[in-house]
Amino acid sequence: MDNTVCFRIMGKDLILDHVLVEYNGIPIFFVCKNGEEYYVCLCIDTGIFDYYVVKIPFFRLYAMLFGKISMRDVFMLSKTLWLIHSGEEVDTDVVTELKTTDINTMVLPDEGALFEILDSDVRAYADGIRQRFYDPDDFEHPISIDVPIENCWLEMQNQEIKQYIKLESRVIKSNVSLTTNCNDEQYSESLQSLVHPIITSSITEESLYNTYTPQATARDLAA
Amino acid sequence: MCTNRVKKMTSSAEEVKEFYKRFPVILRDKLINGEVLLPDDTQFLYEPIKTYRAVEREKEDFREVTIDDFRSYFELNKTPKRLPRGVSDITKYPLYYGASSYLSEEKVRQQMHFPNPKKKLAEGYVFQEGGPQQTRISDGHVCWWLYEGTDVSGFQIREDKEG
Repeated sequence: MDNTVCFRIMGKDLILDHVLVEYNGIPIFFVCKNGEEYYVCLCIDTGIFDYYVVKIPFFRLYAMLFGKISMRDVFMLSKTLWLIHSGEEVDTDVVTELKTTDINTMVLPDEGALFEILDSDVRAYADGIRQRFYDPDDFEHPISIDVPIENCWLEMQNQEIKQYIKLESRVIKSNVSLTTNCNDEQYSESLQSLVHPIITSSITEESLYNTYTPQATARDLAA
Repeated sequence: MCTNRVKKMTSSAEEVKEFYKRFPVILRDKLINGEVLLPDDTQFLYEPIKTYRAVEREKEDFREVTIDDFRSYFELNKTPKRLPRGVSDITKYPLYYGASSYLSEEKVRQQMHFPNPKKKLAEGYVFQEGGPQQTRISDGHVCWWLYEGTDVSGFQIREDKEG
């Protein structure tokens, strides 16, 4: 990216991160950044270049790119967004903060429409976001778990089951231990039957994402 | 540079100039004075390429595709002083003097999820007699720099799925 400043909101420069959808060469759905803050931008009028811009948490960008939430929900899940009437330059833009309950939803992406990764360029960008989302460096930092869970999933790593719990901007990892009141031989057999379904069944990121409600607490899941 | 390829196809600076005159005036003048250069991988001789393009249409508008549906950004631009965001140095970017289409129907259907403006899906063939083209492998984008008066009636609006 060439540090193109797309908008300036409350003194912050929104730098182009990646164009997701173009129409006649005009970016109509794209991502901007200011430091580690992400903004999704929608061109709502390709004649006069008006835009809706919404600041979103990183995990929501990930969720949108991988089709877990609709492109419309990227805007509607926020309480506020900005309407930008383009000026000749960024400094002459007219920027207005609006409640999402007050916006014209007719110009938003179709209801239920999910973003699809259709080319290698966007795929590379999305994979980069995904890699950051699952950044193992985050697993080293201790954190209180008394916060709402946003996602939870299991992975097999080196014959061990790892559980990942996503809390706000952090992901914590823990080992999953299996307990049983069987004797060793029965335990071994039951372990085989228990573990194999986990290994062979399709516990995908998708199914786990849909299984665990974001507002559950760690205690709820542990029960 | 693409100018050299054009020169190879013709044989003199005068012929190059005559060649550029085939384009609409907005692009023609910029090519002649060197302000805009077509990309190095522009193809002038090529087999017809099937592409898909979103054309502006309201839901009940079933007009056929015409040359007006292939106007470039600069031919259409109603607000020359206000430029789109997310691109830099648009005035020198040759793709904005051409018409965009895609090899993939899905890329165009994705555009159609965005309702402003309302669009319908058109499909047809980009052909060399209509002007040079550049195909971008990374995303299947085809930019077609149409000559003035090119017949685009070969493009048809697809009505099998809602736009």
